Amino acid sequence: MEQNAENPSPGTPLVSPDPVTQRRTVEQACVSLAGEVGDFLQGMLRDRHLAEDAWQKTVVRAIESAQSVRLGTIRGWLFRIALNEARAILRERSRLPNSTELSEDVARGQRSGMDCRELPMDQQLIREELRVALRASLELLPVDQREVIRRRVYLEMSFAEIAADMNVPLGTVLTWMRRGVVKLREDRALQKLLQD
Amino acid sequence: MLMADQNAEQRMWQTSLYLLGELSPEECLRYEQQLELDESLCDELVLGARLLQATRAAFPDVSVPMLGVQRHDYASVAISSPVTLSSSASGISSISRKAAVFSAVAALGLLFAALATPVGFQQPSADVLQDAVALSDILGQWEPEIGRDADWEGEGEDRVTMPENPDWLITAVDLDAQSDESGVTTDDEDEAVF
Repeated sequence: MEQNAENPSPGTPLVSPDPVTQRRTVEQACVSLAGEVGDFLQGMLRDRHLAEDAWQKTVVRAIESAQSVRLGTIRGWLFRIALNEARAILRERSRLPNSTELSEDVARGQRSGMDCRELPMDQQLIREELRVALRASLELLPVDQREVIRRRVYLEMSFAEIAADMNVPLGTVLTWMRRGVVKLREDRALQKLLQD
Repeated sequence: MLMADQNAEQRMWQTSLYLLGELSPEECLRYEQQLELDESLCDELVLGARLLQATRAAFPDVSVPMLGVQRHDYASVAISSPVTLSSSASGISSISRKAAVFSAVAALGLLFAALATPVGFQQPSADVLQDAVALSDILGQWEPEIGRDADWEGEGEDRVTMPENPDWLITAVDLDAQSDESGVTTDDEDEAVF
């Protein structure tokens, strides 16, 4: 996780009654947790641009309410603000009539999620390392599990479509997907790279 | 499996379903309420989102485990010679290109005939494969010789390689020339015979 000695960590109580210092601490937390909260928002919203909007709103809201933060829980507090901002965007989005264009936006945002060109060089290297490690892990999965993950995640087919296409029951597809995803998540090398 | 492992696995799976948009609105709401209370679930969501992004990015390079792979491998063997011929034929002569196209079509014909058999996805017999490769090899044999001829370099497409004139043809032409000089036409000769 992105933490350093200067910035707050989950278990470190913050003793900063001074409003200026407290505000500065919140700002530092926003900087140090930007990657994590950004990925969290992108996971919720499935759109990079919406996630960026939500992150900006989160930072503004966090700085505005810096005085109300319970010291020592700043990380969880920031996640909760981000969660609320994301939910507000999701609610607003669900009210919009034209969902087709939004789906295209979502798809575009998801595909561009690993576009390394906008990242700093060290993060590009980490992402490239992650991609290589993930490729190796995917190759190690049983063929059925890998194929279901490929169709659902990369080709964006529904589970029902995959089941029909592969001529297997829906439950089997879900089981293959679940086993494959859990194996990837439990891969130690991947875990480390995902946390960096 | 331990209860804790089951719970951890269940959290991973729920998070994956949430990220993939597979949860119902009610399930989404419950999951988001959990996010509000459980910071470790937020971490799980971050890791899940990163994994999903990385998986999307990694898949173009991951081998595709499909039955069609066998057919693809087979096809690549069968057509490799014609493809080479076709590419080397470009910029040489129309005759060599025709030969290359013909050999490619013939090899593909054999290939499709083999694939159209009722055995479906099974590997075609070795005989059929050998026939396709042998045919393309035979038809392509003379192609590299043309390609190696230094005189062809940069000469354009219009020149055609002519075989060396056989002796009998040279003799016949000489005789014909002699007969022209003597003022006797071929027709006259024919008439003289009959």
